[in-house]
Amino acid sequence: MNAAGEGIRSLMDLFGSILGTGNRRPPPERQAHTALRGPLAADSLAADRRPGALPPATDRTPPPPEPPIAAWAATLSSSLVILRRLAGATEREFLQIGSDMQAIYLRAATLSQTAQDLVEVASGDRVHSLIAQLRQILAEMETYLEQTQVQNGSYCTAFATVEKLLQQIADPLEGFKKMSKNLYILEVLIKIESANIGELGGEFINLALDINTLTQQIKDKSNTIQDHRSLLAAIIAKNSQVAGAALTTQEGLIRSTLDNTVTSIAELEGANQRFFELGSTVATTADDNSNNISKIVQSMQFHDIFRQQVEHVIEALEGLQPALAGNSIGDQDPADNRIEALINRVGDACELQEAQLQYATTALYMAVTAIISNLTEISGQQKLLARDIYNNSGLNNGTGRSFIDDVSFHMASITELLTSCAATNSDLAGIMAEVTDTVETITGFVADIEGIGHDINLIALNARIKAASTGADGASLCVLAEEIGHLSHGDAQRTDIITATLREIHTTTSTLFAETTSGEANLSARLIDMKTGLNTTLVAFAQMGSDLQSLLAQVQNQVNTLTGEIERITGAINVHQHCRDMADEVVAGLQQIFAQARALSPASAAFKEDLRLMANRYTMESERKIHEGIAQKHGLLASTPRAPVATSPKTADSEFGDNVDLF
Amino acid sequence: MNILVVDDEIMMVESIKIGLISKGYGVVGVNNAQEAMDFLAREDHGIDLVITDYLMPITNGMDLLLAVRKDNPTLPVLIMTAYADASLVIEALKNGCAGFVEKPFSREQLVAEINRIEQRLLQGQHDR
Repeated sequence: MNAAGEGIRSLMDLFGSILGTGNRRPPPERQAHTALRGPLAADSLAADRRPGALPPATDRTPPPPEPPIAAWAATLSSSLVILRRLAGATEREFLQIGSDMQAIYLRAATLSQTAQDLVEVASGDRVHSLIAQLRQILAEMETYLEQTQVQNGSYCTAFATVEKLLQQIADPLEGFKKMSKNLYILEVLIKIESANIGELGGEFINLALDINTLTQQIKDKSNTIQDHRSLLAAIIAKNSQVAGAALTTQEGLIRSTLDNTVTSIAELEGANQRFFELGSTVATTADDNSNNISKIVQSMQFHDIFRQQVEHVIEALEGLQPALAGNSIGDQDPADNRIEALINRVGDACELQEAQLQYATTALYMAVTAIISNLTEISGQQKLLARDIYNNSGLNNGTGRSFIDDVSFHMASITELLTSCAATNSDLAGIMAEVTDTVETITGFVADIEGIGHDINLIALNARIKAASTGADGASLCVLAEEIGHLSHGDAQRTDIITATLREIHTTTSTLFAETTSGEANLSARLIDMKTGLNTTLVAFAQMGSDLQSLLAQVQNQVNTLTGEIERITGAINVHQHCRDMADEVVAGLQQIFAQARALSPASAAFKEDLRLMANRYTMESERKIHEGIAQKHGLLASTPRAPVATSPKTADSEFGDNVDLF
Repeated sequence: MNILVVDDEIMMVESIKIGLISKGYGVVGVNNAQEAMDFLAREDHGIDLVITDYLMPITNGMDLLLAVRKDNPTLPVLIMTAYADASLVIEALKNGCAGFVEKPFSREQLVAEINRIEQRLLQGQHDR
């Protein structure tokens, strides 16, 4: 062993002699200096007890009173019983905590993953794509609704025009009735006049019959036209009113529904953004969990440390038992010295082991408290995360619907509105078609009347010719024939007026009908496309909503399980309390022993010096603190800062890292 | 990086596993030196680092270190101990121990120590 090694060995010997610590299964070197058996310990305690040596004059003081050895032995014996139980007291519960921690770790990891999945569902590319689709469909719907509204408005305007035009043919139709009446009178007069001229009038009787037939036809046709006109006017009047009301209602609905849908899509985008931001919260929570678990892992190491420390205490106290039994102090020493040495040894060991036990118990207590605190923190953070997720899901707005449900609901409203507008549009197109058909029918009748008028004109011409051939006798018939010709002329004028009006109506209706029927077909096709697109999008949304609901339920369930589990675990942890109670009993016994020992013989200067040296030099931080604490209790100054490593300065990447202390 | 953790405390192995797995390491845990040596005797063990407790029954961490040095001369061994006394440190370093961690240690401390060893390994490979 080199010089440095020897130095370290000496220090370790010195430390071991006083502290009496050793590993649970100590290595040979440590075994040598546990239980106050080290060479330096022997030297320091028995400096003046070498065989044959006389005690210094200053030590020739009255012998100390008899120590209560039997009582100390009894206390140590009962303390050792407790300590042996204490050394194994943490095993079962820490094993349980370790096992539970595995479950907690897995549950927390699963929960983090579920939360991450949920955030991904609510904020990922899938939602972005669906929102874009919704916006596109919404824009198409808006255009569609505007077009149908414009078209329906055109229908209503056309109906009003047709209604007005139909009124314009009322007078000419009335003219046909008057003409029929006049023709009837002329027919009667012709019959009378033809009877007056005898044989010559026979031709005129046939003429009168023809006039009668044509008059009847004009009457029938004009009546039919009138019926059609009235019917048309009634249809238009009725539907214009309905269409107007529908347009007004739909206008309001369209506005509000579109606004609501825009709002719900904006809400969807907001939720999407919130979930995106929640992603970092989930990651932070997962990190926090990981850190908490790391701290728990660190705290759990105290189980092993505590047990070893308790075993060291046991070993040190066991080392006192033979001395107390009266067979370890050198028999060669004078009795007084032997007693004083025994008192000092017992006092030193009990004081150190009491401090060691207190330190170990406090460290264990704090470690277990930290475990409970870290577990509680994990539980709290998971609850917070679950609450954030739930709030962002939009399920707490009182409607019981998520933001996805809202969007689906409003989009479904728009679809209904589209269907309603399309139905109105289709109804109006149907009416327009009926108007056009009726107008065509009326036009046919008007053409018939025009033909009849032409026939009447021919009859009148024929009548004039025949009247001329009858000479003076047929003069009156000639007048009647001319009158018939006039009536025929009036008929032509009326048919012209009606025809022109009907042409105007036809132009209005047929143009609009042509436009709207092609447009209507187009709108219908577009409506089907929009509905199909919307359905696909809404199905995707519904699936996403379902996934979201399922994940939300999973998160809630997992949080409940995890927090319940943590509550159960933390509620059951009492190992720290239990150990402290046991340790307190031992500590009280040791305190009593070393108080009595110190009262009989105060701590030696050598002991104090050893403490100071150990506080300064011992490698292990915990034990350094223990020695430092006792040294201060004995009025020694706090230790000076530890000397830096004699070799090269320690750096983070030094060969052996920060954990190796080479004194 | 794959790590073999050796400790007679099952809970200790499990808790270290939790800490290291959460940092992305592959971890195999065993509860005594013999199991560790059996595992390392496999040709396909794939272990890059051994972390062992010092104080274990029958075969302690130092003996395991010596055994590892014999059969896997380049495999680094990190020793955990609650009592890092100087003689132990020196003996371990003489026997080629790659590092020490004193209990109680945090996950970060352990990971820092692992990183340091990893860096040294990489540096060694680079130098070769």
